[in-house]
Amino acid sequence: MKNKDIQILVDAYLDGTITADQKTELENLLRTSEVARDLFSKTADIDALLFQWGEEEALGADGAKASGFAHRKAEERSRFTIFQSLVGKVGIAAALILSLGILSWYGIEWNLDDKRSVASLTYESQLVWDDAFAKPKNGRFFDETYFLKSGFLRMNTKKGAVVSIAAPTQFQFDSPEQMQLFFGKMTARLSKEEASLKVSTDSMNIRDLGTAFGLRVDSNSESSISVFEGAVEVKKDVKSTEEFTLSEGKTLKAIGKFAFEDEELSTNAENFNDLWPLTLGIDQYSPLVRLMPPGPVEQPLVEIQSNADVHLMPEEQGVFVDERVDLDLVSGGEQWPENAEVGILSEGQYVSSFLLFFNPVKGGDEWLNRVSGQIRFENEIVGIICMHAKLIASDSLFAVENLEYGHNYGVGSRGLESEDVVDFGYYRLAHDVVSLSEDRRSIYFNFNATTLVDQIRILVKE
Amino acid sequence: MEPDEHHLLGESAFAEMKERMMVKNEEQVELVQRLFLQHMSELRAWVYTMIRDLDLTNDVVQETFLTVYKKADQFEKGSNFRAWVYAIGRLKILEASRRPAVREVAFAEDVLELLMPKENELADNSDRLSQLKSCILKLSPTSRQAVVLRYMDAMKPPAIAQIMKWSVNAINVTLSRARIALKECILKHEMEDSFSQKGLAGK
Repeated sequence: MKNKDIQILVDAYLDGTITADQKTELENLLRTSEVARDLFSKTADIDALLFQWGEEEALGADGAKASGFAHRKAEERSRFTIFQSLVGKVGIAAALILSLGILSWYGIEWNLDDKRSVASLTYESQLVWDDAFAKPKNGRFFDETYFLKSGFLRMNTKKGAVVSIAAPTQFQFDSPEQMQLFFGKMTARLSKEEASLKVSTDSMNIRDLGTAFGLRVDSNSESSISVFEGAVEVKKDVKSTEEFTLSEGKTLKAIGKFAFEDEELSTNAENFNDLWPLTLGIDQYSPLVRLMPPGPVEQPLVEIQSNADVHLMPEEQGVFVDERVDLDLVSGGEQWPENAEVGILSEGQYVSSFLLFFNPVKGGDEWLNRVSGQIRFENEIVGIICMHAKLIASDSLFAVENLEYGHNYGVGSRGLESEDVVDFGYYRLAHDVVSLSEDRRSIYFNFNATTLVDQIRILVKE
Repeated sequence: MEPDEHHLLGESAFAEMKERMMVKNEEQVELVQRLFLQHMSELRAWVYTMIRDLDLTNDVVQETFLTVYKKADQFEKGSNFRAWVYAIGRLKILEASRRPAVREVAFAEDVLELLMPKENELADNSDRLSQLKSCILKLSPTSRQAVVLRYMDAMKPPAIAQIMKWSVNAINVTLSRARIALKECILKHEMEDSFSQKGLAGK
């Protein structure tokens, strides 16, 4: 037997998962093989040390000693008086306090913290916090005031909202669904029906009605809210009867306490371009990936052209999958079309859809255009659709409503080329390549296109 | 005295005998108890590694203590207490291994005997424990979480897998790799310490 196989048996014994047959096998090995005994002794040695560490850290040294004697028989108790004096109530209390400190030190998800927290950090970049205010603890936010001096972050609130913040921003949580923005910039997205978020500023109170929006408060307390998707309800203050429902593509500005002004989002959307990817759950992307700005797409996709860039467009977010969806690439570490297994998206889950497309300039000088890059998502990619027919079939669930995707233009194949294009023996175009990282959070692409669009649909777990 | 003896003797007789023992050997008994307390955490870890059951570990450690207490007079001040206590613990482990409950989870007695460390193989754990603490901090966050759940919260891999939302197999592999990494890290510390001590000795 190989050392690796012996190690598996030893680990199973020490971790309490060994079966009766495996135990017999290991016993026989230990009886006959010095190598097996050596392997066991070395592993058991570190296991014992870890056990000792675990007990001492979990309860504190005195507490661990006390716990060791918790089961002793009643008739033996009188012999332990000296231990009782050593590990009395004070010792146990001190041990408990110490253990709480140690649990925090090791970054463990401590239940009490978990219950008290209102949001969890899911992305951070170069964060600098003002020491005069609270800081997130072990990646958790509580009902406190925070001042982010530098960097970007994204958090998930306990009420299901995804909130992104860019420095400098001061904000406060009052509860998992209520926060205040004193100044700075944030975006929020609610992708599930049960999610909720209310945000107040000096001059407006906002209730998210299941949507995505950006909110900005300037140093002079001027607030502006821009709705990217859906609608939000805006009041001047909590008690006010004057209420606005702001719809997709609109921006509302509150100047001072009482004056409201609305305008088209397009004049304001660029203010949130930096936060928009984070809010969508996109952690990283190559410079040649252009993320479509927040708000409605106002031109047919076929008119969005570039020889050097690909565009990433958020489609329907938080879709409940209740029908069959055929996929071209499912498993981590696989590459389409060479070694990718097709699959079907499991029904009964929520996913968000992103369309990645490469659409070279029509009639341009270049007859062959190539782009390659990568995109990394916060959540797992559950599948990728590369083929024209499957893209069309999945439009009913994921496509942006009333948007022309381009399949009625020209020859109109939307998907990728799975084979090289060769005309009369003359090589013209290599096939496209898409691959998925082992952890299924990154997609790598290499598109080759002449004048026809290359589109793929990336489905990400919500 | 065996645990049941005081029932036979009666409470008052037991208390009287205990009082006599304490008066007679008070200093010796206190020394032994103090030394036992110092080594108990390490002893428990060793016993657990051998018999893989926490309740039975407690029983074995208690029985070891009772024997140590009973034989306190026999311990010579200045001799190797650790070796003495481990020799008693070794016998208690082998005794325990004959119980059906232990045989279910632990190795057979003959295998345990083969695995028992010799006296010269017993190293003091106090330095290694502090090295372990610094090595744990060098693990990746996910490995550290798995180690903490396994050893601080005494969870088995299936329960850890549920919390970390990984497969049980992935947890098994992570724990195995973490133990190897920690072993190597401690070894490295020991070698560095050894070199630095030699360096100082040469000056």
